[in-house]
Amino acid sequence: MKDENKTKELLIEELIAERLWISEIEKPEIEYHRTEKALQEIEDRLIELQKVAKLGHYVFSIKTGYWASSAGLDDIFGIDENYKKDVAGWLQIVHPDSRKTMSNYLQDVILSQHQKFDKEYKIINPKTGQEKWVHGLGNLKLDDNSNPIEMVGIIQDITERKRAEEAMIASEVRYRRLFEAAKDGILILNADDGKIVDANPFLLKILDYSHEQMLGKTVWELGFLKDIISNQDNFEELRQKGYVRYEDMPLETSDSRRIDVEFVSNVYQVNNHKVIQCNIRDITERKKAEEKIKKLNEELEQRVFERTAQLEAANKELEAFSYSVSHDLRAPLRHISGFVELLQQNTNNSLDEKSSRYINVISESAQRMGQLIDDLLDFSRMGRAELQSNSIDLNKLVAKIVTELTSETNGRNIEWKIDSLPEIYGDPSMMQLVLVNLVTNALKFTRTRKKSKIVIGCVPRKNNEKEAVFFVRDNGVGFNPQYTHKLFGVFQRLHRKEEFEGTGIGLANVRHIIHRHGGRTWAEGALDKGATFYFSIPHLKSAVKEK
Amino acid sequence: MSVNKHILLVEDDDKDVELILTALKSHNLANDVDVVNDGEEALDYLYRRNKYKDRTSKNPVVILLDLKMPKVDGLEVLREIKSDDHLKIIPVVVLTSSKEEKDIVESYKLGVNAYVVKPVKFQKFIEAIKELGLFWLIFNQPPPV
Repeated sequence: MKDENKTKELLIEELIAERLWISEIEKPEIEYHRTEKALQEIEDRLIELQKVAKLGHYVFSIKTGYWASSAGLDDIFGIDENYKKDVAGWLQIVHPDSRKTMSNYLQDVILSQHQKFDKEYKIINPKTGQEKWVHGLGNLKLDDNSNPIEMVGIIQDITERKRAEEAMIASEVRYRRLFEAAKDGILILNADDGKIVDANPFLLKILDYSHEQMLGKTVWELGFLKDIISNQDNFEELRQKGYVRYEDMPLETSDSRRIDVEFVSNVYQVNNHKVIQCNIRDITERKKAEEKIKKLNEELEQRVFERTAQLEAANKELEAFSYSVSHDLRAPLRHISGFVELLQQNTNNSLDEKSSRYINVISESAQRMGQLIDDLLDFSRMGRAELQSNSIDLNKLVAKIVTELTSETNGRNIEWKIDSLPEIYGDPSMMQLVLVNLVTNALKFTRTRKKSKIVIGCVPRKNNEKEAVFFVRDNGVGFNPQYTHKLFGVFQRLHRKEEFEGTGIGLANVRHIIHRHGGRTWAEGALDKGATFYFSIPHLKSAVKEK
Repeated sequence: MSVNKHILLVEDDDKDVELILTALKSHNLANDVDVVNDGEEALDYLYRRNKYKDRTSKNPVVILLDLKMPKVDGLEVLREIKSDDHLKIIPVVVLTSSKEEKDIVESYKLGVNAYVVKPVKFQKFIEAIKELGLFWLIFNQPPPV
């Protein structure tokens, strides 16, 4: 700015010195040593130059109160030669906001104190209302009594510079506000000497320092960054790297508290010197939250661990129990059965009818008990066996089961209706067990019908349904819906074994297997009106539950 | 049938012993059975120590081995036999009440030659024992001693 002013002042002085500030009015008074043509050339060039510099010049006669202006100045002012060029006319051009100030300036500073005119002011085009900024310069000429005669000077259109300045100021304000209001600490360092140039309020707050305590000090003097910049060598390293980031580092506040921060530092160039900007985020709360999450996770893991241990212990006990059942419970049954048999052989069938029947009952009971134990062991084994998860073609599986089971029905009249079934994911041998159980039941409970009707199907899939639902329907003896809840229980039977044989483990196995696949089982039926057994299997492969 | 061919029955339950012997007897195979009542005794028998230090008979053509026994159980006996260079050539048949998968797997891992679950039903039990006796005493060619 100063340089610029100097240039203009110099230019004016040169103009005056070389008497090139020619105005039409004064032309006759000038004594010149050059030809008219040369003069014209110089004037033309001057006009050109003034245009380039957006300059105009004027002569203000204090005696008359009128001023004369160059064409360039008329352009800047937005007036023509008919404009009334007196003081009021000039003030008319001055923007209303500055009119009073400029009027006073002219009166008090220029005309009274005889100072040089040097003022940036806003003008307004009297016709269009367009606003501009100008820089006016002028020198007074005094007579022998030191009374001002006239003022000569130039006026430059500085609108663009002003706009840039305004934009700059606006930008500065914006960034200043960011700096002031940021919820991150910001520290600006001079990269040459490590001195603190600025620190934003938030940083002062988290570190508990005052602005004065920080400004102008070097970072290693203050010591709050001592883990990064404890001395000049550290600082030099930071300066060289240009960019440093620490996810989690401790800072020391003025009262020796430790806080945890995330620290990012960038080196950048401003004009011809380097500045380091450090962004410092207080992560104490975040770390606390993280700690808490970590602790909760650990607790959770511990709890899972304990539960798993408990489950494992329970499983072990169950295993030991079934192992013991497997070994120890069967032996006495075998003995009962064996020795009853030996008794029969020994008596050589000489027992009376009643005694024979007793012996048969003992033998049958032992066998039944054996069957129950076997079923129970199977059931418990099923709960412990590892599940496979494979794709299963149910159509093939059902076809195979139906073929095998039909061959055992001794020519019964059976009408099969088997729908096309979708593919599922599950344990193939377990799923086979489910279907065998359900189909065997259907065959068993339709045994009393002249014609057994068995449907194996799939409930049409609705949108977004997460499972496939299958069913086995028969026209058999059905069941009283009142006892539906007992159907899937272990050793629960709705028929006497004289009517329909069985231990009551089949549907319990079905439920167990389906549950382990993440599915459900249910049934519908009415006495003497057939039954439908449903089971669902989730579509997703991952739904198969771990043991 | 050679008198040298005999079975070693390792069984702690004397009722089972009686049933097994009865079954074998009904097929004239019972004379060829030596019975020991637990794992420890079985090992004494095989290694000819303690009570059996004066045993002169050849090793059995097959060992019928119960699993659940006091002191030394069947799996331990099996492990001993199959890790002994002289004994491991003797066929061992586990004869047990247990259908537990882990027993079956463990037995085969240790090198058992057969695994038979004692049926609860007497007729089937008799059948099984008869088959075993006939197979191992009559049909099977034992390893050369």
